Amino acid sequence: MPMDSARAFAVSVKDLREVFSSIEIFGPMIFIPLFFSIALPLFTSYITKYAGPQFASRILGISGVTTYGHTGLAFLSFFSTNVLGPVFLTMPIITASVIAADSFAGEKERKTAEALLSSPITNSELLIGKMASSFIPSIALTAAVFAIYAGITDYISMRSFGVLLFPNESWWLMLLNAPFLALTTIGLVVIVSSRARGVKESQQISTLLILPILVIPFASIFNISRLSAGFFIGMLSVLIISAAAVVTLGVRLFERERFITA
Amino acid sequence: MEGITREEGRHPIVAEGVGKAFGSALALADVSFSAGRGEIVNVLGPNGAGKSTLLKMIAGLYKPTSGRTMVLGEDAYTLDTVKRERVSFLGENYALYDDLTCFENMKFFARLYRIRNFEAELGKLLRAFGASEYRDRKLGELSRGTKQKIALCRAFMNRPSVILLDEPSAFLDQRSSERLHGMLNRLARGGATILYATQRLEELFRIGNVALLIDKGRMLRYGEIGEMLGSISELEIEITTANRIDEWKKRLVGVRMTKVSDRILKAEVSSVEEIPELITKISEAGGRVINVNSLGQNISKLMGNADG
Repeated sequence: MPMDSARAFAVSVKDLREVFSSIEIFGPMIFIPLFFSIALPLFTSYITKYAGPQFASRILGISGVTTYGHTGLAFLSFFSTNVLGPVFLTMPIITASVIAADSFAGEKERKTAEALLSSPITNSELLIGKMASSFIPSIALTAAVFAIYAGITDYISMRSFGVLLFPNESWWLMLLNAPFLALTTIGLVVIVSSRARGVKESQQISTLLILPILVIPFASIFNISRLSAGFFIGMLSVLIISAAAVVTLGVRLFERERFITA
Repeated sequence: MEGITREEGRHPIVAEGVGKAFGSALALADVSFSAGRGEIVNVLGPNGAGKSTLLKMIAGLYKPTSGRTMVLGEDAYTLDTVKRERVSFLGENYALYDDLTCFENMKFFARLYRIRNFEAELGKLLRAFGASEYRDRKLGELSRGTKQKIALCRAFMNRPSVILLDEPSAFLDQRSSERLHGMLNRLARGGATILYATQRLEELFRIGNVALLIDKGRMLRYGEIGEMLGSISELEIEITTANRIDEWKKRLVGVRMTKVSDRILKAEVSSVEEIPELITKISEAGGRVINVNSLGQNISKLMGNADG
């Protein structure tokens, strides 16, 4: 059956309208990440400035970073890239899981699924429309958060040390990982939503993905792993494969009757 | 069922030995019937009879575990999108989005059903249900009855050839129910095939002439409504009046009635034809009748007769 992109588009527009129709839903989803994208670089700058070179040297020592120039600049660069970067990399997971769970399991919870599924929409049109409505805002928000935190860090480093730290190679590579993290999350939510009863159960899947990402900054601080270009490229390869696998599986496993009756 | 043709134009809805089980629980077993073009089939049964399951199978939401359901000449579960554009289903829930306005909800479904000029059609339907003023209001702000009217507008907006309604009058007031029944009768005269699930016997007097009786997942009877009702020796009805019963009851003689509350009474009539006569008598005595309901016992009697 040929796909009618207008129907998929209608589903995306409807879902986005629903999400943005209520400040209670989109408020925390947008403002909390934006707050942290401003607050965390400022906090990093505060530590760099007031904790002193000894503290910075100790952290850099634990992390196995050798400094040749200014300790403060090295600390700011290390902390902003290796700690804040991975922390903000949880953004596409959190946002995508919140919107996707609301979009899929929310139809069941609000008892709107029957009208939607009895309408002339194919499974592909429905899933593409719903995936797009989760993917687009999560990537837009992640890009905004990365831009804000990089901009603030650059402002601080320029004023204090006369250099710009971002965009660097790791920053670009992390940003490149974000869409595949979002897609993997959405694919998992589709699989879980078909079998779960409510939004909360579907959202819980995101914790499965957040935990390994949150291990990255700790691994970096305690010198367990180096966040090199190779690390991020390896991560990207794994995410591309996993995103393709879970999205394909999600689409294949999607069954109207099961979706309604689960 | 013998003589059933799958030709779309003659029998847009066909069920052949349809059964449905959810795990080990059997919801419906061996239901066979066909609905012709322009026919309204009342699916009557008490709660849990299997009416919703049957409608959902015909709407293509559930896959039968035995037998098959055909809609417009094709398997209902795999019906193609072009034919599905001509089918409408409204379940027990109004199934619209509370965070969107009535207009936004309709626009969404109009895109799914590829309805051109939906605004004109929506305007007409909202007027017909007396709901024009709610066009730009969020669904979540409306009463359940108004939401039901909007949901009915959604169900009729695509000018369907096959209409599947599951207890659509459950939340409607008397006037809106009458409007709905009038509209369904008009749509049927225009060629639409309608399946109307209800547990209110009095609705059978107002729409269609065919009924399918089901109970506990089994099909009890399928045929003419008049013939079925004729098998009940005594109908029990509940009458609601706008004024207090004590104000006029003394003037009413020769009618067996029991007062249920200040404005509600229970009466017994020997046939459906006696109901208008009784209402006239009450009006003449000074009672202002606002609603007449058939009591659940009638369905039990009907089911009992069909079963026996």
